[in-house]
Amino acid sequence: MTQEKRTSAPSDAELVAYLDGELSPADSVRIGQQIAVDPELAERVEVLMNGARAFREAFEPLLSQAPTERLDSTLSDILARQPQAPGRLRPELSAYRLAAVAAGVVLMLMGAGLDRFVVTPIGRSLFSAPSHANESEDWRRAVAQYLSLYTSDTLSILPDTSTAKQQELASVGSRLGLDLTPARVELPDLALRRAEMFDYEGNALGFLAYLDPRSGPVSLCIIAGHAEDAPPKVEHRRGMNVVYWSQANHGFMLIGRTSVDHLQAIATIVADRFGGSGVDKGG
Amino acid sequence: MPRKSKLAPVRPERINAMQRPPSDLVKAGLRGHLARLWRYGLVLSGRRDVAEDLVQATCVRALERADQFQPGTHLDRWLFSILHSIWLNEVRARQIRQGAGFVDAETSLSFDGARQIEAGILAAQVLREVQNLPEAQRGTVFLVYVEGLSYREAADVLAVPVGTIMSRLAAARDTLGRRTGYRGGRSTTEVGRR
Repeated sequence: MTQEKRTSAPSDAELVAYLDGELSPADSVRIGQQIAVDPELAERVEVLMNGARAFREAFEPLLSQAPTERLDSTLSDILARQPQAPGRLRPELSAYRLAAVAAGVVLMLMGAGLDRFVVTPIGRSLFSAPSHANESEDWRRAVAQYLSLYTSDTLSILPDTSTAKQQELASVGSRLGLDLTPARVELPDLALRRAEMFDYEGNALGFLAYLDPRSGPVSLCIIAGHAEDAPPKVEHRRGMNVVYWSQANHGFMLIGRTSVDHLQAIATIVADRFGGSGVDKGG
Repeated sequence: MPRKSKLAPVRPERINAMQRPPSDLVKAGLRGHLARLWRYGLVLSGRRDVAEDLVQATCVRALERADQFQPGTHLDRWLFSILHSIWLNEVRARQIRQGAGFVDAETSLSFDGARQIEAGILAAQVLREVQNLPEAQRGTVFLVYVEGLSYREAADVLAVPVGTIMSRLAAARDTLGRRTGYRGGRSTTEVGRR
């Protein structure tokens, strides 16, 4: 691995492995922390994130263009020409056995295909909001775009190790100037699956992703640098409901496909936990 | 460093599969992968007829070597590695890349009606971008991001170290990431190294 400038600075190759979820939890946390404190590194990540595309969807139509009939008959010809391996497969059994094996193999391969659901965080939108628009609104738009890329599957496959999660939380919290203990961010009926740190126009932005068994992904986002308190408001973005407010120098936002009532109930809990003495390090 | 593949419980059907002779598995499984093999051949060669030849050669080779297939592993990965090695060692040298590659009118118009028109345009754009990548990067992007192989699996298929997979993907994403004018990307400012 080439080492640039500082000995510990991750290479592009490592950053891409980080984005692709190919690193061990420990390496992932370490690189996440480095990105959070190094603007130049964050800029590299931005470029690499911009290099993600909906590859799988783009290539899907090519499958239906395959000359399947010709390929099928070619294979049949090849199979017919195959010399019978002595003593392995009696001819009268072969058709039955092939069918039986085919059924098993199809099952196996269907399962195999699900082993890995590629998660490619296409977070470019987080970093490329138009600068002329309202700043306070922009970060919510960016978050909505980002969360809209999440599915329940995305969150379900993330490794569920509480130590990694606590490290992620501690890292995000220290950047936000908030004490993000599990007790503070665990929400009723929602499973916290991931904590990510972003830099939004120079402000630290923490993105906590939860899985609601009924409605799918829900996110609590916290952004530093909101001086004025503001009471909760409701809005709708990308087919999702949003409740947002500001308190103690931070902007808060809850977003998901769950009901507004549900989000407001969660918002009350969160606001209570981070109110008053709840904010520790002043951002 | 990339982690090893996740441990997952072995499914009952896979246990059954492990008890069958490998050649049976290959014979029975091949047919289900023809379209994906053809697509991989198309990505490598950029030509539909060559892709078809590659699939045929892969089938022959796979059946010849069926006893080498390890039951319980992914047949599709094994077939990809055969196709890749045939392409690399036997076909590529005498193949002069020509024509429009895998992006053409047929591709961009093959979606189901107006519902998908916007998606179709974006998809064609993505295909074009991938097609313009250097061959090694293109194949690696395809295996990891389209076929969903882990870095380790892609390294095995391509017979290269995992670090090579990582650097190819990084180079590809750097190229694509610095392209301007992509959907929602920055259009006026240069995004890149300082």
